[in-house]
Amino acid sequence: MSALPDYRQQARTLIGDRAIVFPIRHHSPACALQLAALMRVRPPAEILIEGPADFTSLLPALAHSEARPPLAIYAYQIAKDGARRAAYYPFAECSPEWVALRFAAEHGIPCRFVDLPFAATAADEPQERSLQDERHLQRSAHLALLASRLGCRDHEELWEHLFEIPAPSLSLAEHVARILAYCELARRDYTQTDLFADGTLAREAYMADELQQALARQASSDAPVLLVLGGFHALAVLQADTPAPRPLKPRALHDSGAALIPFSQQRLDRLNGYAAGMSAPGWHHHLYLTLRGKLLWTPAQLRRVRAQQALSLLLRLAEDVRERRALPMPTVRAALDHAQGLAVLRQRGAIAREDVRDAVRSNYLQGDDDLDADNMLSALDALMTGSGMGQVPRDTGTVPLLRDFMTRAHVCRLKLDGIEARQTSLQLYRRPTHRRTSQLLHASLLLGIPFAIKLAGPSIAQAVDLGRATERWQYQYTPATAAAIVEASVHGPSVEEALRHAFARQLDQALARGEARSAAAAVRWLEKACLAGLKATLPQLAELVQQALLDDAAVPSLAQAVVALHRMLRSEALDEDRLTSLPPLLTRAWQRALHLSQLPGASGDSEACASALVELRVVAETSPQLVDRDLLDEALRYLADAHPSPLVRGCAVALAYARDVFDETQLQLRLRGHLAGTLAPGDAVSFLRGVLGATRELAWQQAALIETIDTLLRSWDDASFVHYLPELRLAFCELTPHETDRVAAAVSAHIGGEVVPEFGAIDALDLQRLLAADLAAQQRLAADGLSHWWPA
Amino acid sequence: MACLIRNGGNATTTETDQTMDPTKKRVLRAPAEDVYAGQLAQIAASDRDARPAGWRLSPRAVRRFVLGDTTLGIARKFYGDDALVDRCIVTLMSHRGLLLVGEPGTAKSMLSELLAAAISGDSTCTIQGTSGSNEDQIKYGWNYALLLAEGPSERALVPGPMHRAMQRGAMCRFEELTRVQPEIADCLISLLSDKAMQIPELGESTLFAAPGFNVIATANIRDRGVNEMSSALKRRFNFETVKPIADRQLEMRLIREQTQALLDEAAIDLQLNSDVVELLVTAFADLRNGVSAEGIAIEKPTAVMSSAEAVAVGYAAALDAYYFADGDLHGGHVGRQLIGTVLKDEPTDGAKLKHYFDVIVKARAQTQAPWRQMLAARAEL
Repeated sequence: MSALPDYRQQARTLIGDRAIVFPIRHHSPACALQLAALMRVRPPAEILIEGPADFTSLLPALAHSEARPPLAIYAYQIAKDGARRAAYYPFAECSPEWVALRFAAEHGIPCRFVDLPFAATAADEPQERSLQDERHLQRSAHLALLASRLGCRDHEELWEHLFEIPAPSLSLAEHVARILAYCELARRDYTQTDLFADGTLAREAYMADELQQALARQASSDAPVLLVLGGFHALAVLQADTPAPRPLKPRALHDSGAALIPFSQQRLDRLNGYAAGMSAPGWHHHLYLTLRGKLLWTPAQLRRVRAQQALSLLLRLAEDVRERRALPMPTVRAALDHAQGLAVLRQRGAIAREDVRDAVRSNYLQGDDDLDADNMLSALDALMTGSGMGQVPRDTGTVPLLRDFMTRAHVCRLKLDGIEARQTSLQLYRRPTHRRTSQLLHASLLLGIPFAIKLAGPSIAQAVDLGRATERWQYQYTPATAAAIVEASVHGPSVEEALRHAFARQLDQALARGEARSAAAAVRWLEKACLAGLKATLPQLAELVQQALLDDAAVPSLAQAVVALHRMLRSEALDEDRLTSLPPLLTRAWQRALHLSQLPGASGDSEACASALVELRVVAETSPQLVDRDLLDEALRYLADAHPSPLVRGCAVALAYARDVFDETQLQLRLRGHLAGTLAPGDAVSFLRGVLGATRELAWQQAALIETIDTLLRSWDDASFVHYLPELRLAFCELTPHETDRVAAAVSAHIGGEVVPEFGAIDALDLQRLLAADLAAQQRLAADGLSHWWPA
Repeated sequence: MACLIRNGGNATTTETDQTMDPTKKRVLRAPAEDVYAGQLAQIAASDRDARPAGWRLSPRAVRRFVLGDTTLGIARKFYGDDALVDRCIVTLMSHRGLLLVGEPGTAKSMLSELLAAAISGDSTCTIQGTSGSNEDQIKYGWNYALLLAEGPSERALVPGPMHRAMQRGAMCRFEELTRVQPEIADCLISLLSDKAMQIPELGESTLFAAPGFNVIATANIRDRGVNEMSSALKRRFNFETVKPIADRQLEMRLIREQTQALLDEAAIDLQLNSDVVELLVTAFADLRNGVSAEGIAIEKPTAVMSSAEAVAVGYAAALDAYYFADGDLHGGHVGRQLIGTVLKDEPTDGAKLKHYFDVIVKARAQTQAPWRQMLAARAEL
């Protein structure tokens, strides 16, 4: 291996008279503190920050007094060919970049971002990512070796060990030398070809050029130009000798933009995790808040600060898990001592994050219970991540989608002041303006924007009387709403376009997962599109439903499709497109459902099939002009006799009677046939359940029914009765108390006695148990030959 | 169970240790402080850091002993989790005891032995916990003849391992703590909190532990688990879960080295080739994790499929090949020994193993020779 260069000497070149190239790691408090100290000692003439150059216009918003980290710049672009890309550039309070730009704003120093513009960089990337990728450090084999030599688990622990702990007590020169050595070691793992291929060289050339331009601008000033950038690039940018890069040709863009959104510490942690950036923002944030109060710290003071933070974290954790496990003070004390012991053993100046984690593992966990361990460690991780949320200024530039949304909301008379949640009632049929509002609210649901919730939609009853079809919504405009709308910009610059694209993508994903195959699912997608006012997709969706109707062979699913299509035709506004495309689908679904119900084995679960028939009858009665009722009658006639499940047969018989397909005699024939015949009691009860499930009024209207049930019950022995009692109860459970009284009256009329006495406070289950106990006692007595003791 | 790695970084050191002192007779399994006497002396000589009271080495030196140190030529003895060793060492410096918990065969006892050897120079103050353990075996017993003749006296007292450790200020090892009846194990509570042992028979006598005393306990989660320990006792210990080695490459290296060491000690001239080792490790990992390397779900047999068992299988397979097949070790030998390892007392394991052979081994046998040879062992099931 070749000898290592003199990193200290190289580091000295970074802090020059004219130019200071300050190497950092993104979101590192150590770097932020050193940078703040440097800027105080040598106020720069101009500050350049590593970040896409087209974000410079957002600097005033970032410098605004209302802006509070954690927050992020969200940038997106939609190329003319449909390729989409979105990315984040987050800031934490302890980010060196944040410290730099705020200093610039406070002291009136010109400031700009100097990396390749976002608009110029290519690629259609499906995943939204961070623009502060640090995977060069994570993947470096040299750094991995260094980590294992120093006893560190991973590059995060290594960074804290080498930088976060000692940095506040180091001189500037020493700190810069160490960071340079660290990053240059990592750089040795990558060849020029690698760095060219991943775009690093292009970026460095661009930044070097920007640095030269700034130096030219500030040639007459005494103060230096300060460039804040990732340490991996520092030396390369300073020593760049390649010619200025070609002006970049921007792609043909349909739309692009960038805006500030508030960010949570959890999101920051996640985003950094993917990009190999610093994790546990909460831990670092608290340390930073304490450490920035002073310029230079002694190692002993740093040890105390970190021990203090570790202790408060351990106490907080004990507090948080108190419900599950009580952790007494001695345990907390032991954990702190353990963490300090580990720091000493690992030859660190003070307690690191991993030391605290290890101490929790040893002292707070007892036993091999993995679930307990996971809960404890996730509670600890949550504390270390933090739960703070940032804030963005209210009146700064927005993206086209947000502007469009707010305009439409204004037209719909929705109040966006966000003071409190508001409710609105929309009359869908009567007012076209209300229909538009409903569509906007449904669109926000579809786009996943947290804005409104639907409290009530059109009911079945309202489906009959169109004039009364109303929806009730509750809505409130919050910062989360704005953030979500900004982040939906990648779908399009207007609500309509964004909706179309987002919907198409969701549908594609659902199809890829195989979810829209059943008729019911396909119709649900169609309904979603209609509710949100997505006219353009109607033909495609109709096609999808058409296909699903052909493929789907499950009667319950088809029945649901019929019901949904019926609902759409009834309760929504009738416009041209829907009038033409929906009725054929409804007819098709209707035909298939009824046809399949008659095929052996195709009707599926008998409960589902029976409810399907009931629903289809409702549709036929409600809208006779939309469906072919004869088909239904035919099917009912067939199913009443031919379906293998007695439940379905009962249902069909009752519905057929209700629709005048069977007259009284035919009804009674079938009732008797099932209930007084030689069918197994279980089947007879199922039949009864089917009948009553479909038309419960038969229970008190049809004397013949009561008669045949009576005969049936008499034919059973006690054991059978107790056995089938639950299912019998299920058959009658749909009756209201008033209807039950009517049945009771009919029964007592039949047996010619008084009205059946009230049972009062006995619970039905208790009665069941008592009957069973009764039976058991009787059997015992009979077994002992004492059945004459039993009261007759 | 076959003994684990006995040779340090240097095979010759071990032999010279044993043959150097002619008065020491050859034993089947020497304790760690004798096997590694050379290494310990070497580390002690270069150890400049502060030592806690009663410790023979500084904490960092103990760490170097267990995890290895390339500059001193000390080989690594414990694989898989360096942070665990850190935590154990710090725990032993504190007032709490150390309880190593884990599946059988995850080297808990080995780690306990190494720590005791490094810290106190003596790993023999050991209590072997069984369901018949009583307090005499833990604290102290009596020479009944002397007791009856002279009455209670220091001479009549037979110190148990705990007594010896407390008196000397050494580590006391307690193996299989959870096998001991909870009532008996609770005697440890006062020993660990007061660090003193009451001996009422000798009058007002109390034995106060010398500095350097602590307890290293191990517990097997398979049999009874740690649930029956009283919470008062649990509070006196720091729990560390020793997990099986997750890194496949590391496990392969470990098993190869240990099996080779056993073969060398038995003076068997057989070299393990990497195909067979890989087959062994893969089969064990599949059965341990319940999912094959290709992602097919398998039913886990109830037998423990630890690395120690893998070494035992490897060793037995090598012996089989050496004595019965002219030293030509292949997958079939491994398969045969594997069957014996897995089929213990649970009849359903037979069906699970058959399924493994029929589905996974058969599929791999089509393209890889070692697995084809292993498939031949299916006939034995």
